[in-house]
Amino acid sequence: MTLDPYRRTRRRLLLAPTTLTLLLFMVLPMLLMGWMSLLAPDTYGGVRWKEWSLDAYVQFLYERDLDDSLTLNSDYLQIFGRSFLLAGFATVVTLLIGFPTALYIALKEEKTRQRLILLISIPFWTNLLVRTYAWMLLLRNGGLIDSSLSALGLSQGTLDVLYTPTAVAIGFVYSFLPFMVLPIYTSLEKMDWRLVEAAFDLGANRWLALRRVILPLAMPGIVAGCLLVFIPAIGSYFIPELLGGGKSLMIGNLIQNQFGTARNWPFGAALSFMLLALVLLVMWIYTRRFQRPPGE
Amino acid sequence: MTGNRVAIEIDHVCKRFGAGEQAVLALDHIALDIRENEFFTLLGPSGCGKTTLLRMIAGFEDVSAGDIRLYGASLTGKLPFQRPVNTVFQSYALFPHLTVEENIAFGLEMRGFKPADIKPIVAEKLELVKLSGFARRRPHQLSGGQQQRVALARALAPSPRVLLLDESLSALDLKLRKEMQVELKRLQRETGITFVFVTHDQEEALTMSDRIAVMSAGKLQQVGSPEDIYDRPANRFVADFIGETSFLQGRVADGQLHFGVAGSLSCQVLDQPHDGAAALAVRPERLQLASSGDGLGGVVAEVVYRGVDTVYLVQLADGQPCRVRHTNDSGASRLARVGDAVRVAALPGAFHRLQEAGHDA
Repeated sequence: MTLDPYRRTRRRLLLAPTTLTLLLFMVLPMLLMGWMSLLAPDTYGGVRWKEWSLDAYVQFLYERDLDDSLTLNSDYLQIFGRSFLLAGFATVVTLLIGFPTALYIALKEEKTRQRLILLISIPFWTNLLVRTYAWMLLLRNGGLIDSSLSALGLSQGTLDVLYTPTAVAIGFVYSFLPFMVLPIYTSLEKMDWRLVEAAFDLGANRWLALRRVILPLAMPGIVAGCLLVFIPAIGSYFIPELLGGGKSLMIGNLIQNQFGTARNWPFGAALSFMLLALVLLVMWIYTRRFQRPPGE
Repeated sequence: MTGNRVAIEIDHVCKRFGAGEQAVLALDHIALDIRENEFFTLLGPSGCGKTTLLRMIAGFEDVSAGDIRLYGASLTGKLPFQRPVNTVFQSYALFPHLTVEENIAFGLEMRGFKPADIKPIVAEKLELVKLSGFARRRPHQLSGGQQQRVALARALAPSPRVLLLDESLSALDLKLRKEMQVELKRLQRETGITFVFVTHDQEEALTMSDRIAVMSAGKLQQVGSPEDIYDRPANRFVADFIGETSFLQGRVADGQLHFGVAGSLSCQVLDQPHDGAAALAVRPERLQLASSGDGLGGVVAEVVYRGVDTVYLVQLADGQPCRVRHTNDSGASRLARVGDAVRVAALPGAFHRLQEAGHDA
């Protein structure tokens, strides 16, 4: 598109605030982080600004022995793998719960719909940290769930769920469910239900109408929901910190450690880039596989 | 052309919306038979219940009372996907995520056809609606008329016993609509499928139908061929709704018509020659203006030039208005101006006596 100079200037001026914000708060910190990941760590945190080093990336896969030889170390890969699995699990479960929920709401009358959407968004009124603490109280041994299960005679001994990956998964599903329901609801809400009628008319039963018409048309919402759950989940920090304990460390915790007790900022920065690369890869595969270009 | 077998039997069907005191009777004991291979039209103003009736045949609305039978078998309790009928929707309702050929194949896939069998049928239907080059397009890349054709091909593909068309042409512009009217008629002839067409456009109904059912306010007014409906309307509503009509009040004595107007009209009422007061309907094209001689006296109140014809609104001497239409075929200028005194003459059989409450037939 060619624009005359006046309109081009005006467009640039109008875009300036957004461009500046993005440059200052997105691009600049990323560049800084990339730079830091290529430096050597200082003894008490921070980096040595003039000392280039690829150690941070080497450290991800290899352990440097006393004699300076490198041996493969899968500890960090395991953490990445666990994070990927937990986030993937949370995405699948929230999708399985969220899609029927969104469909149910979308099929209600206008007034009921608004009320149900309000109910979905009520948890946002309380800080997520507080709600995660509440889950600690619910899940701990002797907590509400444990004591009611033993009172009903459904469990022998203690529940032993808190500080396990299971607790993290429960926390994820709970926290991220609204992020799955809302985008799917949005795409279902604007759907033309006469198309479903047409599918019935052409001989599709309910299941086929769902699979061949409703699901494909809700796909943009489903893709958005999955990304909105997967991305925050894989990088999440305090849910695994509070519910997972030491045995279910995730990427977020690992990164936090590097900037905290481990005092290895370059490694923390390198891990962050690794996470970014993983997320971008997943997004790329996912959108290529499932999302048709809009308007096609 | 049309067989005598009954395809759809609508047996005193009622539709109630709401319950108790607030219940509205949207369809009031509709009873009619739709014959095999017939182009049957449900015609009426919006809100008359014609679409509700169509949706009942398709299975999207419940029948409150009565029954609908397809070749003798009751459709009650059958879900839409269990009925061997297909619908062409008013909005077309094409699947936007599927290509033209996938849209057409949809109904066949749902009914369990094998991919190898589906291909030739899809190609044949594309040929039928003249869209062979468009198989891989998506609906939004097509014009309104083309989308309409895809919707038709999609509904015809599973070879339904009856095709239902819900105001299917009303979204098209006039020229395209005329083309599609001819097209629809051709498709109906070529496929030999029973078409049930819903429209509020009387001209469309007259052009395409073998038989028409005129509906108003949930009641059936008249069922008959286009000629029946136009020439012998059953009541004032039908006469008024179909084409242009003037209503006149007159008397029949000795088989001759009399009006309370100076001048005579030598015109017989053929259908109901019994004596007495008569409510009459007359089409403007069956009246003529005459400057002298036989005819009813009146004054021209208005002249409307419409290109192909001119309509004169004449105030008869007794105050009754009537419309007279002349085609502009000879290129002649206007026969009369506003304010001119004229005589209105009638062609033989122009007047149709209406059966109305108080005037027994």
